[in-house]
Amino acid sequence: MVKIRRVIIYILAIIVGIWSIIPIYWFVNLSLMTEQEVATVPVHFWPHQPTLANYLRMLGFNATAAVGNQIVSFAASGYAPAIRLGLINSAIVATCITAITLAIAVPTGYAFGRYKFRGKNGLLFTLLMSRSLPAICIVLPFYILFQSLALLGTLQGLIIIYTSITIPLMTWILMGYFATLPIEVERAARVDGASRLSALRRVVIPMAAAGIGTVGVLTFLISWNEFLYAWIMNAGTPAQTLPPVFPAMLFQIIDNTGLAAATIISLIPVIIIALLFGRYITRLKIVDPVMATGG
Amino acid sequence: MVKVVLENLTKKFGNQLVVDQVNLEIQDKEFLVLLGPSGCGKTTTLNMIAGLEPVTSGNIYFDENLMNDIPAEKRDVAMVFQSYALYPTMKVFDNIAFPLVLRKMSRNDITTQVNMAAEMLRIKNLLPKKPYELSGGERQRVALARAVVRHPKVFLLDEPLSNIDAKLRVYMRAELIRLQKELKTTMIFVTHDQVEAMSMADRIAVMEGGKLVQVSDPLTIFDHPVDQFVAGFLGTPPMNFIDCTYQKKGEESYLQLPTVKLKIDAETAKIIEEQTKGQELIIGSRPQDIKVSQEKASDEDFEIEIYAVEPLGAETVIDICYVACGLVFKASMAGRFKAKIGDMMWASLDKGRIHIFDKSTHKTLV
Repeated sequence: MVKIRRVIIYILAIIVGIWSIIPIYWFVNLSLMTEQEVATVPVHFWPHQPTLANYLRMLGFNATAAVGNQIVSFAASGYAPAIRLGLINSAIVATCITAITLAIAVPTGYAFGRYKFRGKNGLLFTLLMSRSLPAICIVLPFYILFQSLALLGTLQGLIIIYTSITIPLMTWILMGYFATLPIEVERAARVDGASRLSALRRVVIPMAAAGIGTVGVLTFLISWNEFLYAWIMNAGTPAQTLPPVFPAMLFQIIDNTGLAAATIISLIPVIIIALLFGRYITRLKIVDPVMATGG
Repeated sequence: MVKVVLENLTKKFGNQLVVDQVNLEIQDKEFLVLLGPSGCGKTTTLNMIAGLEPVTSGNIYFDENLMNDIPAEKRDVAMVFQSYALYPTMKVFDNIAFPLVLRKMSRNDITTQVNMAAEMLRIKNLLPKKPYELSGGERQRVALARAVVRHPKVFLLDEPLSNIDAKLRVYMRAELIRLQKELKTTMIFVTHDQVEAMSMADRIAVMEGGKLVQVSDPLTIFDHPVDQFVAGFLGTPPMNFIDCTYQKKGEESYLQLPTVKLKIDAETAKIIEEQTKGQELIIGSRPQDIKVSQEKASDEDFEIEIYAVEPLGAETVIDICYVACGLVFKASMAGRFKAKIGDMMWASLDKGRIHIFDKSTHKTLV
């Protein structure tokens, strides 16, 4: 009986895995084909004449590719400037948001997770409630507000909005995480002569590297992928980030292979960040403080 | 090197009274053990001395200085926790060096001090390792080195031997005693293990339910426990208790057990009569003071059935069932003792060493 359950679970896991991977695989597939190859029937499940032409096009270079027996040249896409600008802007925004969010959420999450103080429950409630409004309800008020503050079409405006999303969420996550760390290690630091702040800096934060790393990656992801505010506030301005470029590619001038390539391009920085920070998350064996202290 | 004085120390968590009016004076260079069952308030008391828990009421003095409002980091105490609380992200060297780094000592001085501490605890070979690579005993010695390296005023230890295996525990007991004498520093040690307390303490402070019950050197507490709780807590196997009644027939006084009468002398009789109104008493007899034999030696012996035999090599612990009332207690005989379960034998109590308790107050009368 148990064996059958095991097999079913494995099958389900494989199905879910494939379900998640297929869209990405398909886009990689598309991005490596020319428009002509995409149009061929029956559908090619892998590129028969793979080419990097689409990537080059989307980044603003002219490219050539083999189509059948001929060499065809492609002009740089009209979207390329927007994509390059979007990459830079998204990078700036996501990095700033991650830095600001971590700087605020880490001490705040620690305070909420460890200490009791007057007004704690009230503050927590406010924190949670700020996340309960769906973005689409408050986009309009924000638009009007930013218009009067001349923050429309600026990176600062986006940063302000995104941090209002990420800080409450990350504080909440970190609050729970800090509470799981062994309190005796913090006490030992205090008895050894560290002030509360010193103990936080030298002992707790290194212990919390896994949690903080996760929060950092999450924050970066959220900022990088955010679409609604980016589109409504900044589309068409020099402060446009990457996500708003894509609807244009779908609805204005249709460029399927270009879209696929652009999507994969937008994934690459995220993958790099995940690899960089992921090291801290997977280092649980070394950093896991509960196991390491024998408590 | 300091005298610690606790004055009416009280701690409440919400409405729960955890430490109740504790008055204790710990002498300079003394090894004091706070002994008691789980939940008796001893760890909370230690945390208050360290400054990790604020005091609800009462005072803590180091020598003449009031310490109540001084934060933990400024009290110059060193603490070893039950879970050792080593810094998991740092190497052993940095763990030990941490208190010195906080004091902004020079790099050279730090290295010297850390090496000295590591030498004293014999862990020099572990310095480049990280805590997760060490065994329990090694981690404990790192925690001790971290405490020792500062030359603090007071050492506080919270059940540091609980998490290591029995053999290492016995070894570490001797090491800790030696360490304390070598360092000549006041040491306050918290434990629930009475063997540790007996073997290591200059004085033992027994706590129960938040209150300090008895403070004295180990042998005095063993021989003259102040009430039934202390009597039953120290000594292994624990003391046996039998209900009895006090009777007087003319000039002679007796303690009436289920099947026998124990004659008691006039002095003892007088104490009993003065101290208690009722006749209901409890006799306490340590296993070592009960003799089991095949023949009835005197009228004061009572019949028992062998319930179990625990041969420990150097001694034999015999579980005996007092037939008349079904009470099972332990007797300890030196060397080997031949007996089978179910054998009927006779037990006698060493009258010179029995304790008599008042049944209602549980306080020791004699």
